[in-house]
Amino acid sequence: MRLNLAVVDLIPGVSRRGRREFAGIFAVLFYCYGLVMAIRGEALRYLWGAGRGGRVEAVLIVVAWAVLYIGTVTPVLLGRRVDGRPRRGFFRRLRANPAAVAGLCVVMVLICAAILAPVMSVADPTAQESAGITRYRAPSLDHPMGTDRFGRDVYSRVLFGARSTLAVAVVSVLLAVVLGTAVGVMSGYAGGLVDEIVMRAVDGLLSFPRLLAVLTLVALFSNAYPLLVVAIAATGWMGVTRLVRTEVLRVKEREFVQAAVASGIGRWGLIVRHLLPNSAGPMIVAATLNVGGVILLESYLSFLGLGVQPPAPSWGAMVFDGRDVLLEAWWVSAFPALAIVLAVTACNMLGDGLHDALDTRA
Amino acid sequence: MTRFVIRRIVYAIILVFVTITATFFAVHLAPGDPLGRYYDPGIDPAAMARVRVQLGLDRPLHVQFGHWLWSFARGDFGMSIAANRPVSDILGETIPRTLRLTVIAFLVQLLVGLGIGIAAATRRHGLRDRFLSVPALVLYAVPTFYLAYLSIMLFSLYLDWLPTSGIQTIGLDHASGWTVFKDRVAHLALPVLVLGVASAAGLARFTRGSVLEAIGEDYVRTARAKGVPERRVVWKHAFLNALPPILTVVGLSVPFLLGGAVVVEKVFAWPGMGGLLVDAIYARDYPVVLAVNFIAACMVIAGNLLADVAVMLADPRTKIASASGAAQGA
Repeated sequence: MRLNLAVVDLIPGVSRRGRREFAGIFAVLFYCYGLVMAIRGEALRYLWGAGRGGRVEAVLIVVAWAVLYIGTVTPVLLGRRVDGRPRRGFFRRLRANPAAVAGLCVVMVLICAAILAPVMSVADPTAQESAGITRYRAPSLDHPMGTDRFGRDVYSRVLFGARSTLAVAVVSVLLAVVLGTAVGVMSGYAGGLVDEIVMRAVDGLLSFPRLLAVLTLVALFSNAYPLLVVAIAATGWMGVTRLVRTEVLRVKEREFVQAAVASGIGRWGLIVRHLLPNSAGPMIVAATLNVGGVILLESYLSFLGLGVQPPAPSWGAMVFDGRDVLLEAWWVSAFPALAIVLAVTACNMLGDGLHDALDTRA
Repeated sequence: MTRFVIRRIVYAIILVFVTITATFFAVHLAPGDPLGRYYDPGIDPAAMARVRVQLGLDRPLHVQFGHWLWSFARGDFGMSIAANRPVSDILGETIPRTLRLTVIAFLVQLLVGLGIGIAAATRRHGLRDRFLSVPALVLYAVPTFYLAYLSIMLFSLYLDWLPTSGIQTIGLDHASGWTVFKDRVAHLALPVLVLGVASAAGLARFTRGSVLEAIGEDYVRTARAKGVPERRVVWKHAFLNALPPILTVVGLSVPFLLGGAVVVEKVFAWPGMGGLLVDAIYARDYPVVLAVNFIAACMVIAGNLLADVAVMLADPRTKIASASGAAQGA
């Protein structure tokens, strides 16, 4: 019960009443896991997943997502309002949008799946029992999503794949948002020639095909996890910069900013207290939409053999692995593909919902 | 107008220069060596050194850069190290193939994206909207290569309508022109369809949003109130007003289309620029990597420029702004 509350309390965008509804969903999920663990006679220590890999990724996902959402939602709630209207309607509008709520639920379930992968899985994602015998088994009770070419359990691999895929996506988006915001605030605040040069550069970088850029970087240097994340982040910050700069330019001319300047606020005070909080709205929307985009990007890289490296599972690589047996063993590629579609769709729906809920014109 | 276009072209040239410079140094600083594939215990190190000198790889990087830039400026892309052929010959073969794929896919994207977006927006929340918007949302999230495999399965394996891959049936070179043409169209159909439809999903979503916004405006209500036929309201009042941001998005979709082309080319074994680039990167074939990146940058920038001009033509406000000499940077 305590775990429920702790997890639910972390959900951004849910008000007191809504939180209880979400608590219901999480309670059901939590007790299901409890039941599974009890039946299998395993202890919670399994959560840490001794010897099954992806622990660092699981932690990274949680930390990065928490930083991203808490860092952007808090200013939205606490920050000074640009138009003098309170942002109070934000949660109400978000909750009134069924697509956004559905997206949020799916995103939360996927994050939970990534964290709880060792508990929820039925087998080691890299174990090849006796590949000759157990390969390409159709979905059954033993293997809910069948087995792949090496007799590995697809269901467990999808769960652990959520770890590597989401870790790449969330961490690189966090980096991109931080970098993009910094450049955007600087450019908008400085204005003049600096702004002109920076925005020209952003336009230029934005017009280069992202897949080609990441492909070139990763293929030239290395596709180790840190470089993969950095390459994806380095090609994804420009959109955030544009949005943040627009917000900063809009806020800069407001009376309350002039008042703050007149009352002697410093440069950094102005940026941190007024400019950043007021551009948090577009940041969270861009971040959410970007996570979906990066999941797809990672799948394309995996398809070209440059994503997360085997035997570590990633959704894109799993879809790719199933390409030769689409007719004979559809489950090898169908389930990871479904996971990608689900995750990206959820991110898009949530992002659109956040956009609508934050839109002051509506 | 002319001034605006000239200004954009100057920006574009600077941009292309920065892009290829960055690519040059990234490619040369990366670990690996274009001659790596020839290393072999039996080979004479002195011979390798001679080849290195011949290719100019022994000189300092900035000298190589200056040399390369000078020949580049004269339109000489150099020799491919891996294929031992002039890069311009290789590009002359692959660029038309990729262009054929992407240009037709671009048209499909435009047609399908705008069509679905408008059709969905004019029946907001209706049955038609739901039947169009939900697939668009899902399609937007399907990895292109999985879509490609599924379509091969459906159209080539189950229905047996279209060939699975390649650009032309092997050994068809001496058939009559009409047969070759039909064969090529059949080979082109699936890749174009997959690439076009996959890119159309995003455009459809954006178009729907923009047109919906325009339909909600007062002038649309006024037009309806004064009895303008609905068809005219949708096309002239709503769509034309929603057009400028849509055109910007269409311009920005060109890089996505090129990226998607890399993936689609690989699935359908389409011998275009995508495969060429991937192979060249692995072989550290510097001249080819640089040339392909240059062409890609040019294509994207040309697309953006066209989109900007189209926006200006579609939006009278920008026309006036640039005519009065006001800065029209972004």
